[in-house]
Parts: sequence; C-alpha cells; structure tokens
Amino acid sequence: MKLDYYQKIVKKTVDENIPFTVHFDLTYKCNLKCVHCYVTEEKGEKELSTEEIKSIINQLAEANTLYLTFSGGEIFTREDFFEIASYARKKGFALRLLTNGTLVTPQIANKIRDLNPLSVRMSLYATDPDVHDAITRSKGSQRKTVKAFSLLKEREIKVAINSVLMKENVGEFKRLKAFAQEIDSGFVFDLGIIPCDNGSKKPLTHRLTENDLIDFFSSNSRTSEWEPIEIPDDSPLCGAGLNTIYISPYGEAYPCVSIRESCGNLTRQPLSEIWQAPILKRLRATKFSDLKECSTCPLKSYCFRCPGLALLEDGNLFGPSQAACTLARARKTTYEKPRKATD
Amino acid sequence: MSIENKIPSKSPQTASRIVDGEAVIVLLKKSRVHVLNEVGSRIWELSNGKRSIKKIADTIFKEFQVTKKKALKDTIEFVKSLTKKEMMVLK
Ligand code: SF4
Repeated sequence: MKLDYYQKIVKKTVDENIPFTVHFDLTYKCNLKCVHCYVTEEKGEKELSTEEIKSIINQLAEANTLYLTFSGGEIFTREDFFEIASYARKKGFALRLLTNGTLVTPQIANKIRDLNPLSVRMSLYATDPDVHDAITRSKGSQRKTVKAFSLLKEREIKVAINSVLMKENVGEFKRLKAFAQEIDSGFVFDLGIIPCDNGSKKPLTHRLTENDLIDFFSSNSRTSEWEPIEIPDDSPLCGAGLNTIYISPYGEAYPCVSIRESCGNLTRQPLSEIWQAPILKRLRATKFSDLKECSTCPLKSYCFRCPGLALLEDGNLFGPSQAACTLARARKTTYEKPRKATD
Repeated sequence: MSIENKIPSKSPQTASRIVDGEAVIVLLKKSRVHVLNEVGSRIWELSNGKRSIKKIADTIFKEFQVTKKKALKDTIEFVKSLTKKEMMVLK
C-alpha cells in the first residue's frame, strides 16, 4: 500500500515511538452522574495544579506531541481550564475537547472559539430528553447539551456528537444520526461500555447483548460494513504506548485510558523516563502473532480486540477479551446473514 | 513596505510540529493536514513573527545549497503560497 506524506509521518511516529497523540483527563469531577461512567474519583488524591499541568504540557511539546485531547470528568468544572487550554495552544498543540456541554454558556462558547480547537465532541445519548436525562441521571441535561451544540455551531466551531450506545438508547441511533446531519455535526458512537477504572463491573449491566448487537448491526448498517478484515501477523496490538499515552488528573500515566497499568507519575518522574516504562516496552514488542489464542482464532478478522478491555475484564492483556469475542460473533453473524440484494 | 521586509508568522488557525525535519501542519478550521518538504519546513520553523522574509532567506541561503537570489525568491513564493492557504500571516 502506498502511503501519502501524512501517513508516512504517522508511521514514523509509531516506528520511532513519538507520543504524537495524548489523552489528558484534566479532572474526574463531573456535574452529571452517567449510569455507564467508568471514572472513579480517588478519595484523598489531589488533582494536578495549573502549574503541574503546564509543566506536563511543556514536556509533551518537547516530546513532539501534536494532538492533545482534554477530557474528564467534565473539563469545564476546572476554573483554570481556559488558562491551561490557551497555554497548550500557544505551545502548538491541536486540541480536541471532550465535554458533556451542559456548562457551555455564550461566554464559554466565545472562549472556546478563541482557542481554535480542532474539534469539540459533546456527549449526547438521545434526541429524546427523557432517554438522555435518564442516562445522565440529571434532569434538563439533554436540553443544555443540545443548546451547547447550537452555541458552538453559531460560532463555526467544529463539533461532533459523541455517543455511547447501550440498552437504554440503542433505539435512538437513527435519530441521533439524523440530528447530526441536520445540525451539520460529526457523529461518533461507541458500543464499548467498559468497567470502572477501579475494576467495578457495574457499568456492564448497560452493555448490549450479542442479540442486541446483531439486531443493531442488521438494522443500521449494510452488510459490506461488516466484511472481515485480514490482520497482518506483524500488526501491533493498538497504538497504546507506540505513539499515544494517557494521563490521569493525578498525573499518573498509562498506555491508554483502559490499560490501567501505571507507567509512572508525572509529578515525580519526567515524561522521558515514563515513556520507557516496562509496560510500554512490552506493548511495543508484542505483535498480534504473539497472542497465543487470538492469533489462531477463527473470528480474528471480525474482531476489534482491545488489550485494555482484555486486562480489565478478563485479567490478561494478551488474552482473549470476552467483550470483543461477543462483538466479533455478532459481526460475523450479521455479515453471513442472508440480506436483500440492495445490501 | 517591500515584501522581503515583511514578517511572516504561523496563523493562529494552525497547530504544528516538526517530525524528523518535516513540518506537519494542521489547519484547524478545515481539519486538513499539510506536510512540508525540507526547505519549506525550515522556513516554517523560522517564521516566528520576529524575522523578516529577507532574514529567513539569508538562513536558507546559508543552510541549503542555493544562491542568495534563489533563496529569496523561493522564500517569498513559499510564504505567499502559505499565506494564501491561510497557514501564515504577514505583517
Ligand atoms: S478477542 Fe476473542 S474474537 Fe477476538 S481474536 Fe481474541 S479470541 Fe478471537
């Protein structure tokens, strides 16, 4: 496959292990109480100060990070958010903001516009306020998020609906997609409900079952979307530790948001040292063909295995992930299901 | 003011990094990415809102094997083209 200039650069960041893309949760505090939330605030732990965050941002700039995602928790609960974000913009980062949008006022929208972010993704679970508010367990939250979309669109800020599909809102998928089109917004959705970062499996009760997934795939997509994809034996497991890293509001660095094996703490160690943590070296050295069970699995070309989920739920970073197995089976069933000639 | 005395700087609508000598520039509003060649990347790096085009061209002349005249001509053309693409601003 011929790569264009940009793809060559991205490949270089993978080959040379440059942390090109970083996800930084600035806070775990949030004004909503979503039923599927995986975040657990660590009691007694102090979140990073403004100065500590700026010092991490300096290190990321030095390490050549270009894409920096600020998320949480709810980023706008931090009073110093705009001080931090403006600082990051001055240092040349392309910012992506993840928010629930409920705290966006016209004044905040103006400040977001002045930041020139690459995109702002806002969590919207349903076009029906009752369905959305039942998920966020906060009355009136849907109305506020929808309002935030119009405030940001009015200011020509690139927005996207960020949705998680679960039992409560899977029926809303087509309406959410139509709403995104109507307001000229991007639309990203995730089927991956994950356990809490403290290991609690409570959020999983909301996850779609195999039959739910087959129904969802069959009624919302074309068969061709579920075509099997060959995975080359020498593929890395994912980008975690290769050209991305995750930073928690306590300064703890992890390979990604779901691989909760610490690489070190940025308040005590420099990024250059953390970037050589044993877990990252292990991830870099492991190829798909090294996964004993997965590399010979008949479902592998239907599978989007996530090492973090395999570790969180099944206890082995390099073993099968039951959640991925379920998804892969559903994809295969959908793909092999007889369909109308138009599919 | 003649063009060579003007001062180019990176547009606030961009985010960028130099990876292995190549400038990767994200045009934020358009979500488009540009990768510059070696000389272009160096001009981009030098365009910090403090140096004039002439000063940048002098550095290009010293670092690359080109004549003084060509260095200036190329720098002017390059800056003009990036300004047109809204990646740079000229003062
Ligand atoms: S995670 Fe499950 S479905 Fe995916 S390759 Fe491994 S065993 Fe197969």
